[in-house]
Amino acid sequence: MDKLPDPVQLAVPAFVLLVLAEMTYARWKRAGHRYCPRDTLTSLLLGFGSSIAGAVFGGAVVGSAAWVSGFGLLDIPYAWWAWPLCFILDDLAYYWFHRTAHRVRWFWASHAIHHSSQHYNLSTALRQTWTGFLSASFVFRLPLFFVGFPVPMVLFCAGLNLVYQFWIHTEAVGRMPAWFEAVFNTPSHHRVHHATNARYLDRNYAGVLIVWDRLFGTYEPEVDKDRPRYGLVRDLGSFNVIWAALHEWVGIARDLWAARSWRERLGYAFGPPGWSPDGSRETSEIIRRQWQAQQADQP
Amino acid sequence: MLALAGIARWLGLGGAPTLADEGEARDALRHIVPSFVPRETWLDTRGCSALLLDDAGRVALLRAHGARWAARVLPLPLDARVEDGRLLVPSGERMFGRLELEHECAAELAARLRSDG
Ligand SMILES: [Zn+2]
Ligand SMILES: [Zn+2]
Repeated sequence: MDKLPDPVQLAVPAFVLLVLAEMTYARWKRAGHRYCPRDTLTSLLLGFGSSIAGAVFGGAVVGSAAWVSGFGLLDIPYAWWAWPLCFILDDLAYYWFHRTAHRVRWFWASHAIHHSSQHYNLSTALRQTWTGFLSASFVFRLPLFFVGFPVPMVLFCAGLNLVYQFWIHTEAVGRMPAWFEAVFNTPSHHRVHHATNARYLDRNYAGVLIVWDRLFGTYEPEVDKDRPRYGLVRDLGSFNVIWAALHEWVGIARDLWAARSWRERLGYAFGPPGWSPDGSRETSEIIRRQWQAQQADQP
Repeated sequence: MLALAGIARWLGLGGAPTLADEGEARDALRHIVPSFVPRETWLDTRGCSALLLDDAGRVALLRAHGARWAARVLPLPLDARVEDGRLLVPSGERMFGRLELEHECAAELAARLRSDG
């Protein structure tokens, strides 16, 4: 197979420099609350753990991709038009992966790690999954291989996508120019995504193009009077790295153990996060409905 | 990695937040658990935690987590006790830990939490 560089690995030095720059900027703006040393250390360790998990399971992912490629409908070449097409379709696949990662607990268990910080800064971006392989997150990219895009091209585009998403994890940037906000995912759009405010929950799943959210009805703009509150609906209250990476899997295991029927087992594993047989826990729909009722009550 | 976190500390970033009064405690909690309507607020004398009670017999434990606040809402009664003048309330979750609250009426509050408020 042809060899292409890994954009994420190449970008690591830039990530480090940008984190330093953002810290200095926060200090200069007297916005020291944007960073917390313990939280940053946890983020860095989670990023490190993720790259280890990636190295361990990467071979299996590439293997399955190559296998599906064998059935590819077309034989797409490394042509100038194939690159942007691949990037855009990969971004679309990312949108559906990410949307599912928030709506199905089995995938959420792997993605929750990314939302586990109550801070929103560039170091937060490094909180990446350890268990994506267990969730089988790679299935969302398989259609691209099936269509016939070369495996290295897709993996390169996926890497670029991830590198793009790094810079939007910041409170240092307010809004980008309107045309940019209209087309691309930005710090403002992604702050909404990381917020637990009822207005913002489960919105803005975009990777690079915010267009997908506008198209599929999951777009929510940031409102200045409703400042985002970052983290999980039920924050961990812990800086433990292993707990941040695995807490939702532990939750699933506990619930499956206590479940009394197959309906309950399926609901706990593949229902939306917060699902419970009697509705005693809170899903994002329940939280949003409560909030809307509260809003309606207020004159 | 340690160096980056060290630099963050060296720059004086983060630091534990404090609550100046009961109003700030209610505000902090409202941002975390909007559905909780506190009837009573007990503030730590150092302002680093708070315990709030609502009309439905629930307790909210609010404590600092790094530079932010973290909370849990629990039903009464709770296995609260007093040690060295500090009220200790377990959250029931090992990873979340317990709430520590310094208050002159800690003993009275502990007794109420052990009964039903
Ligand atoms: Zn997400
Ligand atoms: Zn993010």
